[in-house]
Amino acid sequence: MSQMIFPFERLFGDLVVNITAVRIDGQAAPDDVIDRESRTLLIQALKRETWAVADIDVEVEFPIQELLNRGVPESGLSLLLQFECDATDLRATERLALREGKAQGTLSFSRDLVAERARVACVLCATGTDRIPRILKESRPWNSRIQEASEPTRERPRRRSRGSLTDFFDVRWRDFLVEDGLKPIAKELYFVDVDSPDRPRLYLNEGIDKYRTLLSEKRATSLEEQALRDLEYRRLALGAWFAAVIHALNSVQVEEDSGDLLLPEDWRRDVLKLMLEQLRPQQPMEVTAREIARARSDGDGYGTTLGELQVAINQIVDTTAVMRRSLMTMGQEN
Amino acid sequence: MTISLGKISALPEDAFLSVERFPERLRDAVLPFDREVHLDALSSVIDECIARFGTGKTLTQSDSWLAPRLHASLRLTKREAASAAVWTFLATFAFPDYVVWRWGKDRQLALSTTRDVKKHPFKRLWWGAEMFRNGPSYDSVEQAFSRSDVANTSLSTRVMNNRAVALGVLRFIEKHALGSRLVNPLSTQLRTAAVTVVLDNACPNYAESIELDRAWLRTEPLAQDIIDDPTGPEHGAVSEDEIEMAQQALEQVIDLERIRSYRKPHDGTTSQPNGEAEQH
Repeated sequence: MSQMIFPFERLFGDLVVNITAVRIDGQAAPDDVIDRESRTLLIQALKRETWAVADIDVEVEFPIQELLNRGVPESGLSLLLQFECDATDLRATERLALREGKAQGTLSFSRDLVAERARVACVLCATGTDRIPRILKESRPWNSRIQEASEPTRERPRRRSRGSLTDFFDVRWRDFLVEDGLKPIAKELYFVDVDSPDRPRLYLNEGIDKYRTLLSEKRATSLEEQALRDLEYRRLALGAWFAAVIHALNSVQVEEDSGDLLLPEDWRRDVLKLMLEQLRPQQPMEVTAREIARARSDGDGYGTTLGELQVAINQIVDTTAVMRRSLMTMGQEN
Repeated sequence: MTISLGKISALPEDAFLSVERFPERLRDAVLPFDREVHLDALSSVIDECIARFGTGKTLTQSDSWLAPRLHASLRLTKREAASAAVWTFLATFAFPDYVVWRWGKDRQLALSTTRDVKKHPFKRLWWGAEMFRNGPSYDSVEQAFSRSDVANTSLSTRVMNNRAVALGVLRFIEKHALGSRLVNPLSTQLRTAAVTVVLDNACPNYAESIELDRAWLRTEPLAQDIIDDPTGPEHGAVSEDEIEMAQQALEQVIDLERIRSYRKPHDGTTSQPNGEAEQH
């Protein structure tokens, strides 16, 4: 059964937002700060230690003839420029003046009011006789990366090495047979608890004969034992990361009404960033998350994506001796 | 002795949280904040809060008293306040006694280190105050926190980051006497694009991204002034006309009948998408 989502005619053609120039403290930024392909402003890549204000020149276009043919005069339209930064709860909007299907404006923001990334988008509305504006079309958003490269390094010292299990997972040895919540899976070698509040928890089953010995730091007694140990490390890492990323992806939502992408917070966001940027390094994590959410809801290509994710995890899993040592050390402490 | 703001990005693996302020055992985990921000006034404000509200039923009421005073004594930019490490520092190192007093020992670790703005003991108060203040006036902040459901739900509703809309919503709730049960369905409507675009159209606020009262940020807050009458920054002020415009737009687009017919899922009747669980 079809369902009417918009009880009025929407614009068929596109509402296009272009960013034509960026100025930092009044000085023109190099043109490569604007990545038109990925619709991203790479302000953090400018490597300016200090700056105060960014100005972004915006041009907007839409097919005015389509609306005129439908008897919608330009005077009955309004165009809203939106600037949002989730990290700082900043939401600034401005109405742009329209002229023959075009509009221009400059969006200014203070560095002290934004963090991480921000989003620029436009909404074209037609105002009805009841004076309520209705959405004719939304533009595709631009993302602006703001955070300076020097900042996050001290912000999250847990990430000692990329893809290290112990940076993300709270590793604990338990005898599954005597642990209440783990009894039903007493024969499993490990279990990933993604519902623990601060970090996902990786339980290793010390009730399985010689499992702890296999994963110990002691020198392997044979090449076969060493090979088995490496295999098990890799299997553990793959299983743990896959459970974490699938859980994090389940928290990604696209709002039906607004089309807004809702990403999880805390460690779930961190795991998404790590994995999705490995999966599609050429584009921002948000774009990949949106594509996966769409594939999941449409059932179109989601299985392929999961396969690709496994490859991405394999690529970043660190199976070096350093990782093994830290894994065991962490496990023994708990 | 002057005490200063710091940051804690990660607690040691064997971290043990007590109610002791500035414990030696966590000192190695503390990183310097980007500039000197003194916490003396905030320390006095928190002492006064605990003394004033004691224990029991008044714990929830303490939020509406403390939120404006926390904001007025912790003078941060939005960018600085976006750092999770600041809030972890305040909850685990600077004022762990407040966390235990307000939320209990059992939830201390989880709440002190959460990044969830609706749950963190200090973050929720500061960002709630930032959302509902009108320039230097915190009157609406006290109103918002007098009902924890309003403050908590608003913190995850994007259009509420438009200040005129946030203040208009408070008046709308009061005018139509929307009780706790009805805040969630109101929030559901406020999150739809059809509604947000009407509200943004009614109250464009481009100055929000550029204005900053740097003099207020630089001024050392005095504890007694803040306890008596907290004053916020000049930026982020909206006029009575703008709030009125937001309220008129809300009257146009919010379906009150649908809100009033809302039943929580466990009521066993109709249900609508639920918002956030209450914190109390």
